[in-house]
Amino acid sequence: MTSNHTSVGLVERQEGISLFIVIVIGSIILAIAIALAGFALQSVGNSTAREEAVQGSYSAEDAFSCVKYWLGKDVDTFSPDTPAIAGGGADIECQGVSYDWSAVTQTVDGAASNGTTMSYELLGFDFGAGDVDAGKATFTLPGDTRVEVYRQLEDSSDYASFNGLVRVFDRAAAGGSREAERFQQYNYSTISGADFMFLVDRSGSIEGERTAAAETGEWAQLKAALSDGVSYLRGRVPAPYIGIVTFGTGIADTGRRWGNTDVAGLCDTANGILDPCLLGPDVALTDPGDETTLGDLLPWNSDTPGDPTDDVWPSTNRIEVDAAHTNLSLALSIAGLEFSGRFYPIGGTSSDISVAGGSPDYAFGRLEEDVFGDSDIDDMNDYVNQAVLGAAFPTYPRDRPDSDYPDYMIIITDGEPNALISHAAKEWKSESVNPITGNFLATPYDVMYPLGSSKLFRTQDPGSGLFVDTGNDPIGSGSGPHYTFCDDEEGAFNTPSNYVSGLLDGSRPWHFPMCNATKIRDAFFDEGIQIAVIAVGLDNTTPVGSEIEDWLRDWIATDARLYRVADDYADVYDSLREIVEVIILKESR
Amino acid sequence: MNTKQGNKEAGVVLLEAIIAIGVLVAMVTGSLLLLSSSSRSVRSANDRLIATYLAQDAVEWIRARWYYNRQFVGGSGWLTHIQCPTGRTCGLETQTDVIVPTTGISECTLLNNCILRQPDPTSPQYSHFDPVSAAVDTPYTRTIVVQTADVDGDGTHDEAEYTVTVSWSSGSGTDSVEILTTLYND
Repeated sequence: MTSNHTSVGLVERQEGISLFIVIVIGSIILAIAIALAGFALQSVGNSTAREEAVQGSYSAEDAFSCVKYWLGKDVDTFSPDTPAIAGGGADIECQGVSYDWSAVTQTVDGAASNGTTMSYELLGFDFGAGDVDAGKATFTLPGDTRVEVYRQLEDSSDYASFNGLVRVFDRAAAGGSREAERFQQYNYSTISGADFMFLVDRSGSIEGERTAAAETGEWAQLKAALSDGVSYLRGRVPAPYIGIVTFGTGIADTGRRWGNTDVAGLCDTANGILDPCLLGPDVALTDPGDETTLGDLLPWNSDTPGDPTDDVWPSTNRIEVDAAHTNLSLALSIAGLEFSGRFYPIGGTSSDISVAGGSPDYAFGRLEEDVFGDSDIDDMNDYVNQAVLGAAFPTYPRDRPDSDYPDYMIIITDGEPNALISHAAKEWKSESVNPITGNFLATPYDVMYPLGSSKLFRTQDPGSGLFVDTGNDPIGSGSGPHYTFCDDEEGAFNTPSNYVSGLLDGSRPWHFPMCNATKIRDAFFDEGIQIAVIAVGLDNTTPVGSEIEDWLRDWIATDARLYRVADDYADVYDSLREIVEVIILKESR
Repeated sequence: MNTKQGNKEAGVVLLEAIIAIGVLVAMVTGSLLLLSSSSRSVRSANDRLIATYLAQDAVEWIRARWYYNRQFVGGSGWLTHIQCPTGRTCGLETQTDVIVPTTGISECTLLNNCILRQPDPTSPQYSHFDPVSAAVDTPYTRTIVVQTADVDGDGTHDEAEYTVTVSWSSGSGTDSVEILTTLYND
């Protein structure tokens, strides 16, 4: 019995054990298989997610590109009050979808609807039709990419720029194993369709060979940067018109010299002052047809328009680009007159409006006169007198309408242009002025102002705004009288013509317009002209550099984007792009 | 009694063994099927990953060239080397310099019918023109279709939509990865 019981118990214990073992082993195999299947499934999911993430990334970038494109055509594109797009049918079109502002649902402080129809949410006060409001435009591109364009009220300036925020959301198309979402947020600023005039410093402080066939050093870098800059600007739509004025110290080496002979007796070539009548912009901004030849920068007199390869040394017709001092004043005048639709330079009008009194009239003088007079820039010389000069001088129709094509001057200098106070071939030094009376001791143009960075925008008399030392110069060498800035105060005593009337030979066309630079600037601003500066190699950690920078910043008096400091001339191109277009990727996930 | 008991026990064991074998076969078969399916999925995922990289490779080349065109060519030349005739299917040799490319985007007939090749299976490089004699065709075919549009009505093309497709043979037929990108002449 005992044996039987033992046997039965053993059999009972053995029953099911093989099944148990099989199930255990099978479960382990199955678990491994399921784990591997899970891994496989995860791999599939990951690869699909990556594919969707890549697609989402490009969709987001494409959406931002679409916004950039239309803002480049019209910075008011995403403001429903100004929907007009030049040449466009529908208001905007991206990736085959048209978005019509006429169907916009505008809400005030409310949620904007999404969809392929543009929607608009007003984020502030409605300034009415024709004005730019702060708001958010929303639309959805194919592929479920939602775009939000924020325009901020304080950036609704009148010089055709856009400063704002662009957000793009892309969600993976339905059907994926998992959903990938891409979000990018940009701070974006751009200038669209502008007319540009470069004012390029070619003075002696710009190092490098410029009289031989192969230009070198900073000068070569500057030209290369300009070429790249022009190519970049011409690639924008609509392409801007571009002009270039180079400036040296005197009138003779500022702008383009069209020839060396007097024309119709209109111009004064006496006393070593070369004829300003023979000057003009290097590239005429507004000349018909010239916009197609802009690749040929700093051309020679006799070269083929548009051919940058024919500037081969030697050439008797080469434009003088010898090392020279600077005359930014004259360059500003030329550029300003170009932008004002005026003709520079030409004589032949009445002489009584010259600041020198009795001297031949020049457009620059008239510009200054207009600032203080009762007329405006529209009264200045126009191209009526072009007929007098003959066919050798191109016509200068007005620049394009500023409402559509704002005007930008871009000054490129090494931060030491020494002639905002001078419009003459000669310059001054402090010893030429009686520190007590403020009168010139001798004919001022017989002496030279010592070159150095401390000379920029300085004058020697705080009372007159001109040329008189009053104390110790904290920056210049020695302990002599120091210089102060032009005070820019309007008044009989402070006007250049009054100050110098008894000091200058009346037959010589002296002009000191930039001593009243702020007035000139204001006149430009009134004309809708914006001024940007690229200061190359300016060390603002030094007292001089800091002072120059402060002055320049104050003088251009607009947003910080219009003042750039480039480390060297190779960086000029990057600085130019920063002025025209700034993209800051604020967030991406 | 003992014999009957023994027969019964033997029958139980046999039945148990049969069930165990059946369960084992089912489990192993299921596992093998699962593993097989997983293996195909992993291969498919791997193929998709490679295809995505290949598509992205072409898109990045196109965008790099577009950027160069905008910066240094400008104007109507903004599609230089990245244009495909309307209605045609093209390819792109990305193992070439972006600035001075040997071909740029070209029709598939000029690019090994858009089939990508590898010098050897371990090479990370894919090319249409691999000069190594041992180079073999890969399963991947990369095609590019370009659609241009005049979005502002000025008579010139200022938008170009690129569809980059990388396709390959899979067990169930042909699989593909597609990436779209749109460029503007801005």
